[in-house]
Amino acid sequence: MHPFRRRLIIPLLLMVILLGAALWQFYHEGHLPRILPTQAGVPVAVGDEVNLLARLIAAEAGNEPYEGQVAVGAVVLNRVRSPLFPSTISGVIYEPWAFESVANGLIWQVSNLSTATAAAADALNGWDPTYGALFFWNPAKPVSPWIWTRSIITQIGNHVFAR
Amino acid sequence: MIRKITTLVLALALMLAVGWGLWERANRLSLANAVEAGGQRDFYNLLSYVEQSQVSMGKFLASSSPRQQAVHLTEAWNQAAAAQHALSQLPTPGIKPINTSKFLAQTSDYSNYLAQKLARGEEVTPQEREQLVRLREEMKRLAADLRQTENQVAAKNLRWSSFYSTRMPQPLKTIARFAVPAQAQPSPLDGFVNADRRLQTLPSLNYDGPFSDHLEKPRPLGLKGGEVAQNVAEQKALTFAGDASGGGSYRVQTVRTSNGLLPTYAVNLVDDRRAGVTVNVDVSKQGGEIVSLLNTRSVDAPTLDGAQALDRAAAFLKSHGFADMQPTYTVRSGNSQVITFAAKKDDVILYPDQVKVKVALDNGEIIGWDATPYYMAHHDRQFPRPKLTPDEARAKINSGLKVEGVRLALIPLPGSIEKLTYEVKTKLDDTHYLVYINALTGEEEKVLQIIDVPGGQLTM
Repeated sequence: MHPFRRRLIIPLLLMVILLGAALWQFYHEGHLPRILPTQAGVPVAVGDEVNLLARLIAAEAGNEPYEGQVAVGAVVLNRVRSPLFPSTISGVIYEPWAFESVANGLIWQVSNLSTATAAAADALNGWDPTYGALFFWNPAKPVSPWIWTRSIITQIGNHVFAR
Repeated sequence: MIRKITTLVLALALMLAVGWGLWERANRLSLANAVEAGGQRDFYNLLSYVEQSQVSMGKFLASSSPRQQAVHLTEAWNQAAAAQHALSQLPTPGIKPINTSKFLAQTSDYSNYLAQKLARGEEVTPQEREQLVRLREEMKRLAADLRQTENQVAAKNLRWSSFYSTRMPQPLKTIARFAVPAQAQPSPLDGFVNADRRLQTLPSLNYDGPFSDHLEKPRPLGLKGGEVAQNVAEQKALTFAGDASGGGSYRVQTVRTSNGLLPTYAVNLVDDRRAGVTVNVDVSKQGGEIVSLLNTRSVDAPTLDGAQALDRAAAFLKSHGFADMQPTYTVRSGNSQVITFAAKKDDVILYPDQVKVKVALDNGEIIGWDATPYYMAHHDRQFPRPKLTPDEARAKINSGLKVEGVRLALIPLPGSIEKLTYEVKTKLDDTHYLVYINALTGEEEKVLQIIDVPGGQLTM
């Protein structure tokens, strides 16, 4: 092989990779499912509340046991009733950095909502496996040290629940 | 030749890459501007609502007519609530201004409480007035803190959108720190931190509203006796789950303890015969009562209707010692029916003492039970005899409404208050309203609108 061509292989490869990445991103951005969140503060009907809550449950606790899914829904509803948090479901869910899945966009990508919808309905009907929790987090992941100052109620699946 | 072609390809690729980068940057900037606008909007809303509510509270103190006083309190109530909402949507990374949020919610709620009092024709006591003066002073200080932050915002030292940028990887960060040594600067959010720290030390605020401090940790009133041992709780859970499934047999998988408002043993059971069916039963530590049951199995196509489900639920309640319970509302949830029951005493419906039962419509099994409200609220009550007759209560109803039924009911009101009322079921156009008339004074205490949901039905 010509020495000149051999020298070119690596930069050429790099270029191809870059171009590929650009095209890939372009393609995907154009095709992301666009599910827009409801406006915070607008009163939503019961059906809308179930959908909103189910989406958060699926994104936050999709792999948790059913009880843990109901518990995440209950935390949202406990926050709605608490003076420390906004007074609407959408306000609580879309509070900046309140939920990881809203910050990283997972909440708009979840597709299987069947179990989460049942869990959301149970939470809206009053079931609260945490008996008043306002916070939950996964102790295996890095979290703000502040959160550990809250009083811990229990652990369900991979989530710790606290007041 | 080859050399020329490769140069051309490389040049083209470079141009594409640069073009793509510029395009991405333009996108990022327009998004950053939108986020910045959102942050600015929330911040200036917060500042102006805090100022306005402080002014409204001042006007209340300056006014002498109860009617005007009520108007100013209503304004303060709305403005403080709007301030709390704006604060909660403001991006403040690393700080959770929960004390500020609580202060705004409480001030809003307290203004509402005083306005309601005036609307009922009662007077604001000197102590209550004093309390409001104190809250107004705090509101003024908060406004001053926010105005300091506003200086930073105006000087562009504080960019809300900057809080959303992706964090630099650690090695790059270290290099950057060598290149540009960091200077000790006050954080732009110090105003929020200081305000929040100060508001944490506020004395507690007690009044008859939902955010009163004395309600922060309600105690279960319906639990009697001492703490039960874990094995006793397990036995109770097994028996109850067996009954709920109509004679099934379970074994204990795990037990965890839970120290919420109602401390429990949470017993996780698996079905011996049906693979994959698990049931969670919560047994109260005090007294060993069954507080909650959730069967997590999926329910197949229904073979029962709502009325049959109601009969099952009522029979199940009776067999577990809840003798006098009245079904009040029933709603279809997927392939199951959720029925709410309220306790009854001397023909009075006790709405605080509620139990919910969920029936699977495929085989009639009880797959859900929630007695939390019942055990939180139930106690021996001595309520007075009603002074009004049902017909007198009926006469108090707005004449435009069609009355469909009247009965006595004890209802919970904000601030953990219970009132003996006549519950009047009425209809206006095609909407049902429940109007509650105080059985002693004849005052209208509360109006509930029944929202029609598919399969939802009021049983009365």
